[in-house]
Amino acid sequence: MELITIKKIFGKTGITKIQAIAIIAIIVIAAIGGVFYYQSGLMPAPTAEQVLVIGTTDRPTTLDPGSLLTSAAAWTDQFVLDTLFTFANGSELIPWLAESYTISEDGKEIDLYLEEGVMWHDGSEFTAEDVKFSIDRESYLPGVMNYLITMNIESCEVIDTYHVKIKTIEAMPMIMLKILSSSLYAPVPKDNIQETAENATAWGCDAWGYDVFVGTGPYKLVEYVIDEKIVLEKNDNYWAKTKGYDPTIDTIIIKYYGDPAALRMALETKEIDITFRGLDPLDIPDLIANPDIEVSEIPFTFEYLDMHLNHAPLNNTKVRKAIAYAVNVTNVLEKGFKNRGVITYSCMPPPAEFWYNTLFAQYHYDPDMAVELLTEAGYPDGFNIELYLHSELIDPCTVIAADLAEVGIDVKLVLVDRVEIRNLRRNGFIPMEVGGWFPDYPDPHNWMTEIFFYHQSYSYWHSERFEELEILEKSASDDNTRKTYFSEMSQIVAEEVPLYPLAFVHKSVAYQEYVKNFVYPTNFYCEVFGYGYCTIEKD
Amino acid sequence: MELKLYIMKRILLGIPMLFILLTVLFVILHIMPGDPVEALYGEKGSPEFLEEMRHRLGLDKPLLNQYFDYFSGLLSGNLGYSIHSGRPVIHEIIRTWPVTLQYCILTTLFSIFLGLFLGIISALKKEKIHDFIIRGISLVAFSLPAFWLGLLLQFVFCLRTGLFPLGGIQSLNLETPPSITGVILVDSLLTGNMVAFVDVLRHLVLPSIALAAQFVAVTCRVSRANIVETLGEDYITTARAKGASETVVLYRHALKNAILPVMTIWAWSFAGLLGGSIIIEKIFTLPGMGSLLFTGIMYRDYPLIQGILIFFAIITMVVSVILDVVYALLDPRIRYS
Repeated sequence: MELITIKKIFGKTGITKIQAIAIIAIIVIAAIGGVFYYQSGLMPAPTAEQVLVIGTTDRPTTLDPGSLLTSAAAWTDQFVLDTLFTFANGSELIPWLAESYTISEDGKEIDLYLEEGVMWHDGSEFTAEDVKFSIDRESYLPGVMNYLITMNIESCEVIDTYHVKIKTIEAMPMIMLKILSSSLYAPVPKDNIQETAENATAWGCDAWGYDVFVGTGPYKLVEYVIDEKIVLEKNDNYWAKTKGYDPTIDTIIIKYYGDPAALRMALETKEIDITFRGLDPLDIPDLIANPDIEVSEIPFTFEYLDMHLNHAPLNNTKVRKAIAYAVNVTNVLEKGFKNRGVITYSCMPPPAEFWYNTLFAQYHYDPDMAVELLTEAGYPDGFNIELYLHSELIDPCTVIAADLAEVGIDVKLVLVDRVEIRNLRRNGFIPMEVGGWFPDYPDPHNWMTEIFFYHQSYSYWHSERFEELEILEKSASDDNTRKTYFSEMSQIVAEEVPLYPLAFVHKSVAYQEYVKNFVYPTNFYCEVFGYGYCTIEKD
Repeated sequence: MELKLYIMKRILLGIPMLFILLTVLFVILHIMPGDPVEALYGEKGSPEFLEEMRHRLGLDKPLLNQYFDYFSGLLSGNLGYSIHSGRPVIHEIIRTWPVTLQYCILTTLFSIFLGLFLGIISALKKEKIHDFIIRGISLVAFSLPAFWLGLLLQFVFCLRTGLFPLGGIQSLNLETPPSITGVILVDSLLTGNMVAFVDVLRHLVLPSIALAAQFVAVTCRVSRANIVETLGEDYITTARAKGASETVVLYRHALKNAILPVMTIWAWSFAGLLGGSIIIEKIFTLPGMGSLLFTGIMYRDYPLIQGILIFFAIITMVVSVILDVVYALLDPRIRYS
């Protein structure tokens, strides 16, 4: 029967039965042999080694912190490069490569005393020269966040091998310490990087090859295939072991995926153990329902309704308050952001308990109060206004427009490209938009002050008292004092409503149920503590 | 000699064509809305910083100056630096092209062997059940968008059965063979690493099938039509009358003539594929030219887009010349003068 079929298929092609059988036999043998050979070579030998495979869609363009264009690489760098400061338990700022520090009376000078005997992965010693070199190179490299150093640091001076003095342009000691806790500004090995301001190209130089990419951190870079994978191996001589910081994972493999669908499938097929960024928010409910997968979420992106005061009647505080009363944030979170976050009554995320307040809670959903305020402001019949948005914000903006329509405010939704929105904003053409902000460094100054100062130039909101308090808050040397200033600043913002907080949208991590002890750090500066310190417990 | 002259002429003619193409491309890219610096830095950069970066990249110069800068760089063999990655464009192309080349070759092989095989069967069994089935299948294959087929294959063979890997070019726990040619399939063979060879092949099968489906269908339909037509020619009847076997008639007389139009399809589809399939590379996470071009477009990375398109234009020209040469070799009636 088989031969008859073969004959029928090959028929007049000229291939004889014997030849046809031989071809098929060769193909079958080759396929079976190939599979067995392949399987035998591919299957890793049983080992007690802890290997964690992380999947993400967020590909770095470079690992050099001075040339970073995305936060993805900053995250990868956390494994290899140590920072001068870090956060214990996600919130407590502690000295790290800087063993201790002192702050001058005027708050403009910070003396850093470095840990002695810390070695780069290549065996050379970490010194003050490395710190100075790392800070200086920020000025000529094109990293997207270098401005936090170049705009704030006046000079970095080597006092001795383990002592550097950083002078800031304005007094901002606590903020500077937190900025220096980012891997974006992690010290890099001076002797490994043959670059100067002159030989660096517009985008940095290739002087720091990946073959000599070393840090002092808990993991060593073993392999980097651009756009494909990064392999990291535990640094057995990690200097911070003596402090009790010894990662549990031996090998970390970071694999890059083309899109969220591929990332999800990789998780479902157990090709990866855990995700970093890149999951489609719409996939999260399915992943939560999957018994083999765990999902951790933390509030991350601050979403707010931004009102630009150069457009009447938004220059009227009563109108802005009316808008705040008219918007039902519960609705916005549920329908607009698909319940993927938490409502916030402050510009700071609820988990930041020390700084968090609920001053905006006074604007609970109350359409009647909104109408009353509009009448007082001279708009009893409401008014027309444009709300600008890009494609990812259609749902929340539609909900907001519907809420405002209830009180007579006729909102026209204007959909434009992300880049175009920035241009329009810069030129003062946007009356209202839904803004999104995630912090550059984990400090309330960035959560709140920066957002207003950044937006001040575009939203046309000014408050002299707010600006005075900002200077005081920045120069204070302890967080308790800063908190008192922040409280008053928060009151001003809540009273004048230049923006209305909507929600903190979640950032999600999904992982296999056999990944145990994974704690998703609420502080994005020390995610290495989440990934490096979990355990793999496969049956 | 005539052929050599013809090739020389084609190459020389290609130079002004490239120049025109690049000029048009340069103008289109620069008049398109959007700014690479804005696209890269977005909200983070201050206006002063953005201006500084435009200055560093030469984007603040008049368009004509930028044009001359770019062309003087090209003449010295410099394709410039990618705005997005900061790496030389030529390095980016060298890095990604082997990935694309590998699945292009597999795709073309699929379409040649499967398409031709089905086309021959279909032609020989004209108007019989085999013919109807093959034509039906080829119609369906032609109608399937590659991305949809790719997702379907991924769902069935990766997610449901686990027979093939989801994506990437090789398994995570395998070390990349030492780079000799840059093409992992070749390098793994040269270093005798058969595990790596099979592994890479396994990663490339599904994307190649997804891309090949339409080409197989076209090859099948066109080769069937040509073979059917050729088999009706007088010289075929003469060959049969002389007592030539069906094998000789098919392979020596009919197929040789029928294959010429099909070769054009293979050559152009191969050249087209070498530009990289953005969507297939996205779905299967292949770090090839398609992904690179996508990144270039997303970030308005002018040097990168221009570099890739120059490369693509050169490849197309080379394939076109090779095709002409092969035509002349296969068909003695074709003469170039």
